[in-house]
Amino acid sequence: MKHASVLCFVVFALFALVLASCAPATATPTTVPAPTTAPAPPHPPHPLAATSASANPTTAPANPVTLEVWDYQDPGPAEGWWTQFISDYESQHPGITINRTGIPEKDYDQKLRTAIASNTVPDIFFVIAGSNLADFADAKTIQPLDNLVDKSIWSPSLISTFTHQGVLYGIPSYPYMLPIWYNVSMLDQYKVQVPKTWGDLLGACKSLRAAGKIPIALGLQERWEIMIYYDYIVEQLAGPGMLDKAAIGQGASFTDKPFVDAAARLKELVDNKCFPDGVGSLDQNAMAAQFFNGQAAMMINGPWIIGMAQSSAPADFKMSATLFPALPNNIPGTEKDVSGGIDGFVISTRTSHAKEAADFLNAFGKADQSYSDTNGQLPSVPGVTPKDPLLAQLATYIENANILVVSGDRRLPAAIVDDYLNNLAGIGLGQVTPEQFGKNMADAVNSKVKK
Amino acid sequence: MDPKPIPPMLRKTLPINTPADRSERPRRKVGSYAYRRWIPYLFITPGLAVLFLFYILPAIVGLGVSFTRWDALRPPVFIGLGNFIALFQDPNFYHSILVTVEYAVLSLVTQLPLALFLAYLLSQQKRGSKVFQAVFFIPQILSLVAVGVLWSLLYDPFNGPPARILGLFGVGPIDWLGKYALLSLVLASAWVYFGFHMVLQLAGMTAIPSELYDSARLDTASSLQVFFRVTLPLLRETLLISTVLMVSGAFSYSIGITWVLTRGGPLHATELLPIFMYKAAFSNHQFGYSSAVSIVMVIFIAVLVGIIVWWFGRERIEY
Repeated sequence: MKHASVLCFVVFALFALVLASCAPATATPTTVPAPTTAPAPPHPPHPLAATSASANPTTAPANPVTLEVWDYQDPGPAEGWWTQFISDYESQHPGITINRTGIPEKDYDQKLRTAIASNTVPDIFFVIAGSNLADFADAKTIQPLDNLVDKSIWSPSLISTFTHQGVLYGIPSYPYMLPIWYNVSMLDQYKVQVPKTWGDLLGACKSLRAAGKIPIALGLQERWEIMIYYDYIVEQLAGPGMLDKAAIGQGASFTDKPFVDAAARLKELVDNKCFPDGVGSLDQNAMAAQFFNGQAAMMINGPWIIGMAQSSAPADFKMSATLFPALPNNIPGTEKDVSGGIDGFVISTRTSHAKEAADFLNAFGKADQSYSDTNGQLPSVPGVTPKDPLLAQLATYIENANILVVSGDRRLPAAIVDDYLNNLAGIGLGQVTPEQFGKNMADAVNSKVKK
Repeated sequence: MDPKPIPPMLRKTLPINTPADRSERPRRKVGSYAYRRWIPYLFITPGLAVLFLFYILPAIVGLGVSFTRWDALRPPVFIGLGNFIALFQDPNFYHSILVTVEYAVLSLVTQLPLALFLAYLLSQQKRGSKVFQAVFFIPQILSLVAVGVLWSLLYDPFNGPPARILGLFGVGPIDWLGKYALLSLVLASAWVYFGFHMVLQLAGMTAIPSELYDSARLDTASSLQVFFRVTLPLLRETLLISTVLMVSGAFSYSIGITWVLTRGGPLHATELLPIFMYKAAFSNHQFGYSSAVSIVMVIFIAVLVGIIVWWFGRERIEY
């Protein structure tokens, strides 16, 4: 009996601890003391935040409101920009406090899903346009924004990527495209013309290899790098939207000719030694290093390498960008399409401050030019030309494209993304044939998506 | 059965609780009976709470989740044994088990002989032994991310130091993390963990009575004979600990360095079971399936460890 009572006490103590730890986080607003007067701005307001705030004068909410905002952690100028912007926004909106948390991209999804599962989801958070957005929308974790945000702030073609089944769920904040970057001096030196067609690209590989150079820098450690090639090729050979159909096994299959042919074209690049030897041991940093230090002539990558080039490349390094070359027998017009992606903000269905959250997103959208200029990113709002000439070039490509093709790993159902990346990396390593790629992917769709 | 009599010398120096000792010491009341009965449990409660919260409770929740389909966005849906059935039909699961066993065996055959060899050298070395122990142990206390980045740089087929040295002899770029991914991973892991096992073996060696070595030398045994006939058999228990840690480590902490170096690739070549489990949860968002993998993995580890313990305990060696 005595032992039993002791055990009961211990079990009770444990459960008390468990219950205490499992209690959901209380809404922060209740803990924030009501300010008696509006706090004075600590420093001169941010020009664009001030514009946005004055354009939308907001009356102070009856009770203080704290908005939790989660996005990717951007080391560098973005952090300073956010601090200034939030400070200015808070000074223009008395009673509203913004708690922004920057989370490293690689940990972000894991932390967000854990927060959703444990009912501690932030009011505003970052998502990727594509299957990621659709997942959140289908699960009703994010709310429709059609009647909440001012849609006219953002470029129509970009904001449309945040619609799912005709409903707007997010606002764009970080569009990017992945062109072919090339070392201008190296192509000049070896009399290689900027590839406009598939034949040009294969010819460039041959000439550069003969000169002892790596034609195209590539690393297979992260695997997305080789995926971009397939994304471009399949867009041209199968047509817009067909990859999405094959990914769910409705209206197309990976064993169909265009998909296998696209894999064969990718293999052609491998067979023509367009990529470096030892490609399986290289990551994106090594890949960029090969390009910047003059070992490789070309590379597919995002606009973020403009900043990297400024800090890592030699002073006389000169690069430019071009579109992915046109493939023979492609679907006309698809050679203009650009591969890339868009990230953006959504509002949680569990927030009790949807209006305040939407107002914050509107202000953020109006400050987009300053945000993109500071961070060397492409703008999400219309009528803005980036200051950087290379960024301006990419903005023109996006403007002229029929569609900004969201890259496969962000568009395909999560259950088959790993198969997609693995099989494409397998082609890069010469371990998977185009036919095997088609079959493996079709099997993955059948067993993981259709089921 | 009567307890063995305690020599008088020990009885004077050690506070051994024999009936005679208790009668000799003055009794001291420290509280009520209930207080004295409860106080030990109170002392262990914080430890038990931590154990329960961070080990037992998640394991119970994990078991429950393994019977559901759950993506962490929608409420979990009970599907019975659906995840386990799917798991045993998944060829990638069997491939992962195979890769994990390969990794465990390769880790054993690289780390254990190296650890034994160095421990033996250090046991013979009187000067500088502590310094070498510390140096060999350093990789163990480094962040696995830092270690992963370090080895990524070493494995760079163009700019890594090994590539540059091999380049001097005309050897072209080697795809360390491509064609030889598993071996490269084992090598990097060995660098991290061999120091720990070396310290274990060294501790085992210093615990062997020196009389045994003296008598072996009197019998004109060679150094090799002494090592294989005296040292190695008496290291059975520390070897057992190292083996269990390496094998169970292949199913658990191997995920750190593997994720940083290869992420299980290329093409599942280094997809150890913990990587397979992690990808199921955090890449594919199949938390129920991932939990099923973890349950099977625990059973697998328990069986393997049981076999190892049985194998090491087959015969008892006493001198």
